Amino acid sequence: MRARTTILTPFPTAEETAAELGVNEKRLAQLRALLRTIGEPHGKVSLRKLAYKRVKKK
Amino acid sequence: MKRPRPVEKVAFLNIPYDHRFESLYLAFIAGLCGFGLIPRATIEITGSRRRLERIVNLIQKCRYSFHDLSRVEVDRAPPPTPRFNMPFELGLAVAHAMNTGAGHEWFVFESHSNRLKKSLSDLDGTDPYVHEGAADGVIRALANAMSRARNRPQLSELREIHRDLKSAARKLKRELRGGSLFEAAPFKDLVMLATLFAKRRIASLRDT
Repeated sequence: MRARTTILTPFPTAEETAAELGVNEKRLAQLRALLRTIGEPHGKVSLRKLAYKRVKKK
Repeated sequence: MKRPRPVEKVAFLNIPYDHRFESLYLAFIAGLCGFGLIPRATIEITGSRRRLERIVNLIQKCRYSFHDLSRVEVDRAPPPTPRFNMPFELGLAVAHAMNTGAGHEWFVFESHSNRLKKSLSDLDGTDPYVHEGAADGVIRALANAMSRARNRPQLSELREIHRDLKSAARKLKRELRGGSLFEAAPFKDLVMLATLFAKRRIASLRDT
C-alpha cells in the first residue's frame, strides 16, 4: 500500500483555473450562471428538508 | 527542447475519450478539482501538427499525472487494434518522473487489480488504484491516492461535487446539441465548474 500524496498548495481560485485553461471572462460568467441553477448550498438543502420533515410529522 | 517548469496545482489526466467512459471522466474531473488540482488533458490539444511535442510539454508542465488503463483493450471498430495512447502517455510520464526525481508524481488506475499485471508487467511492483469501473470507485481511489494538508475534502463532499458536475454536464450537453463532452471546450467548462462546485461543497472552503 502506497502512502497517500499530500497536496500542499492552496486551492486554486476560479480566476487562477480560468487563466491556466485559457477560459475567458465571458465564459466564466456564463458558467457561474449555470452553477447557480444546479443544486443548492449544503446548509440550505438540509434546513429545507428538515423543515419539510417537521411539518410532515405534525 | 526547453523543459517547462511544473505547476504545482496542475495534473495531467490520461483517460480514454469515449462515450462509455463518460461517467468515470466526470468522476476524475470532480475528484481532482475536489483535491484542489487543475486537470489538463491531451483533449485540449487540437490538430495533429507537433502533437507529440505538445503532449510531452503538457506532461512536463504538470506536477502530477493520473493514468487510467482500464480501457486498454482491443477496439472493435475495424481494423481491430489495441488502444496504445494511454500506456504510451503513461510511459512518457514515468520517463519524465525518472528524469526529474520528485518533480513529478504519477498514479495508475485500473478497473481490476490483476489487469495491470497482465497488460503491463513492466510495472510489476506498482499497485494500481482500483475503481472497479464505477464513478464512485474513482472518487474513492482518488481519496486513497491523495490527501491535503489544509482544506481536506471529505468523501461525502467529493461525491457532492461529482453529483453537481453530472447535473452540469447534462445542461452542457443540451447546449452542445448532441456534441461530445470529450472536446477541448466542454473539458475546460467541466474543470471550471468542478472548481466552482468544490468551493461551494467543501465546508472549510465555504467561509474563505
